[in-house]
Amino acid sequence: MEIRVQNLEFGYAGAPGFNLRVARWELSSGQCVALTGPSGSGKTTLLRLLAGMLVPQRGHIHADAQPLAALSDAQRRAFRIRRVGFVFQDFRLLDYLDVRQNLLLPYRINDALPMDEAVHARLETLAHHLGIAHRLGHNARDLSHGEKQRAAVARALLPGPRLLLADEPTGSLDPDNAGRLASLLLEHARESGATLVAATHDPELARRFDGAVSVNTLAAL
Amino acid sequence: MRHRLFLAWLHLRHHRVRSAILLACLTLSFCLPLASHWLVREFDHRLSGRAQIGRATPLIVGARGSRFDLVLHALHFRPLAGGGVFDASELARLRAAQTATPVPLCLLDFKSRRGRAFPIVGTTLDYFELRRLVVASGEGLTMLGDCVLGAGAADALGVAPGGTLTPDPRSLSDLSSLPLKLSVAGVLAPTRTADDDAIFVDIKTAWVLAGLGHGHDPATADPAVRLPGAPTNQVVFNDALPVAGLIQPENLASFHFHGDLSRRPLTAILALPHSERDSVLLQGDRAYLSGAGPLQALVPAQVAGQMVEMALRVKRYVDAHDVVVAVGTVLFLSLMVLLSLRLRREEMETLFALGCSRGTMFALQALELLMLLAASAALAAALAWAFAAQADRWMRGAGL
Amino acid sequence: MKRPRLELLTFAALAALLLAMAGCPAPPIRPTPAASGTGPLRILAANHPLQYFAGRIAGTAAVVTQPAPAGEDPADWHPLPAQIRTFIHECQKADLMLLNTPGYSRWLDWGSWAEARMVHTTGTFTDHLLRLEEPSQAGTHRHGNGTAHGHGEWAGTVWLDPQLALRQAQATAAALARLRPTQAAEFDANLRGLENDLQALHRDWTQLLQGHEELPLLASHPVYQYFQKRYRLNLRSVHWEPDQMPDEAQWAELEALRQKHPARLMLWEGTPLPAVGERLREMGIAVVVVSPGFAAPQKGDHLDLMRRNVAAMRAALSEP
Repeated sequence: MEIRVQNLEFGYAGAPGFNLRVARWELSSGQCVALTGPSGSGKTTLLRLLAGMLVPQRGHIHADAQPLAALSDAQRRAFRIRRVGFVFQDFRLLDYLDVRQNLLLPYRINDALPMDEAVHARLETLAHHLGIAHRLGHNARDLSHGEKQRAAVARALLPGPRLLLADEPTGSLDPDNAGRLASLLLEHARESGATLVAATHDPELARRFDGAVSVNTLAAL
Repeated sequence: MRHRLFLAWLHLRHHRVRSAILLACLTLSFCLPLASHWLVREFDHRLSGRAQIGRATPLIVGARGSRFDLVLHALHFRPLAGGGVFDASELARLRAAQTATPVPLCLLDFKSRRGRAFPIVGTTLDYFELRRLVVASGEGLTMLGDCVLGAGAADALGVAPGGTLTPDPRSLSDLSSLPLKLSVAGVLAPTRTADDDAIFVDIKTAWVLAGLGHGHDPATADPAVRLPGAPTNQVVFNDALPVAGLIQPENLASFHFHGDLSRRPLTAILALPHSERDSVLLQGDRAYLSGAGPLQALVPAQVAGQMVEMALRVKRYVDAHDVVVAVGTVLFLSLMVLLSLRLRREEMETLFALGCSRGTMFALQALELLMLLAASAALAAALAWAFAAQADRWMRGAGL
Repeated sequence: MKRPRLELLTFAALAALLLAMAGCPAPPIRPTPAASGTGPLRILAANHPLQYFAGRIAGTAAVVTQPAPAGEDPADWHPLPAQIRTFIHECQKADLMLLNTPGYSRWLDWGSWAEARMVHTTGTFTDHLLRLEEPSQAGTHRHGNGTAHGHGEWAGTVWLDPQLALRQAQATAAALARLRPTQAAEFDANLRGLENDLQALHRDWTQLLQGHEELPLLASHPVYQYFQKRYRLNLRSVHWEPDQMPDEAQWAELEALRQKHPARLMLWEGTPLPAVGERLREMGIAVVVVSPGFAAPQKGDHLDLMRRNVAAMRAALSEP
């Protein structure tokens, strides 16, 4: 997916000191970019703006030439469902569901995503690939940290998104696991041709991406 | 909808303790009004249902005393405090008045060896017809000495048609009565009323049981004990002859009653007027209206209505209590929902990020509540049903 | 608030379940009598006079029977032990049972009956009923240290007083009308015909017996109590049977009775043995047959028999 951000400004109503600005930022389809910057600089906010979960007060975000701000709530939701995969910093797996149901959650809450045989087949393959096939029947809270991380990635990848957003995906992992996860994300993004934006403050990780950009520099570009 | 129900169910299942507490709260607040409503309705049904007999407004004639006691006695075979016996001459008086069919009742107590009490109901065939009682096995009352058992009594006493039953004379109201075996002629189909626990006999058999008549066995008649001067073809009974213990066709002719026929005892008469006009006439009968007279005539539906009214008064208190319980439950539920919303905020954010609509997020929580409500309603119905079955036993135990 | 609606729904479900459990009604305890239908009613009368009255009033609307075999006095008759149950079952099938005086039909005490189907034809005038002077010997006995006692019995030949017979007929007609209200007018018309006949009979007896109140009369058997009371007769009874020759003690008893009661006429239920009639004639006593008509007469109907009684009495009284 091709992303174009122009003259973006965003601030939270309850946080007058915070102001995110992006003068201009373009991502070509299939590009894998690491988004860096210190804590509180606005990495997560920018990911949420790209996902259509937040709407900027000023400026535009175009996804494949489509301006997100011009979409209705429902249209933005449809965009999110069909085209965006989101990996949360703290995984956000639901502890009352097992791993399989967590992976199928987007299908269960969105009628726009039909849950057919192909989905189940893809789920098995993906779980196998990510090394969590044997944990599918287990409750999410019983998983190890690394397994949770991989399950969160699997949930984001299952619907086949064109834009993959990852918020500190390796933040709480040891270097081995972090490296493995980064490989996974990159590998899947490249295989499917999806655009990948991963927020991180790990320079090691950032180096493995096609490029890295700091939130602070985006304001000046 | 299927997916949302599934997720709501998984959430409920995961928070077992919370769900169980909510379920218990809701069930209790549903169950209480259900049970009290059912109880009063059943009480009304039993009392008023039994009171509606015959074509015109029926009357119960009995000894002056508690109105409630007399109605419970005549309709539900409850023992009458203080005897309440009156002369059968009233039966003849009612016959002569030609305003109603008088169905006599003479109730005796019968205690089985295991101590359970069954009323022995002396009456006429009219009783079976007006109650539409059906013989499930054997036949109806035919001969003096026959008895027909209610389904419950037959079951508890373990007897079947063709068998016999010996009421313990010590338990009869008249101590001079003689042990008489009753022939079990038939067993009635169950009715879930007081009739199920009754032992029905002919009114005349009841009088024999009460010691007002007896017979002798011709087989034991010794020619040597004939009275001097008596014709040889005539069997004459005297004190040398033992009384018959079982009435059979062979000794039936020897059965006879002592004393004035009109003084035989009755405990109640169900008077079934031929028309509403006759019913009004009978209600205005001076014999019953005079406060000094020994008898009273009651309209059972009215008396039953008064008893139901008392039960309704109790129910109103329970209902007022129910409102308090309901308000408490609603407040508690609101608190639970609020807390739940707060606890699930992060989960909702995740769902939102995954593309979930606000409608779906609301549905997930509403469905959970609805499932709880439905489950507690079903559980309350089941509990009320179980309570009803128990209440059924209580009421039958109380003779209703 | 949602609660009341939920409560209602639950009750609807409970009610449906209750209804489903209620099951189907089974047949009643006795075969339904013909009362509600249109076929002829089955009526059982305690004796022939009641059978006759019911037959006159009901016409073709009923089949009226009486239990005793031909020629037997129904007051003495009862079924044999082997027949009792069958007999009671048959009687229980009747739509109406026309009863005479209390204790008249002995078998009535042996079975179970429905009050609604019993017509106590003397029930409306129990204060007019007469007790038997002497209790029958067979019923006398004692128990333990008690004294010998008899059981209260009523004289049964009520119908020999045409006025009381009419009241028996009226009770019968009322019961029939209650059972078949649609035919009440027909029953009433028939009753009026019977009433005319009974009143004519009463007039005949009144005319015939007026002025004979002081005349000493004898009766072979105490069966004329109501007849005697109605027409104020000076009548004394012995206990003789038409088909038996009285023993000498009985003849002596009669002789003694005549000393105080110089009767020249003796009323008999039936024609006595010729020898008895001859000996009475020798004593100066004329025999007059006044049949109570317990059973169906061989010739004519019950009223014909009653009229023959009047004729016989008239002939006897007109003799010098």
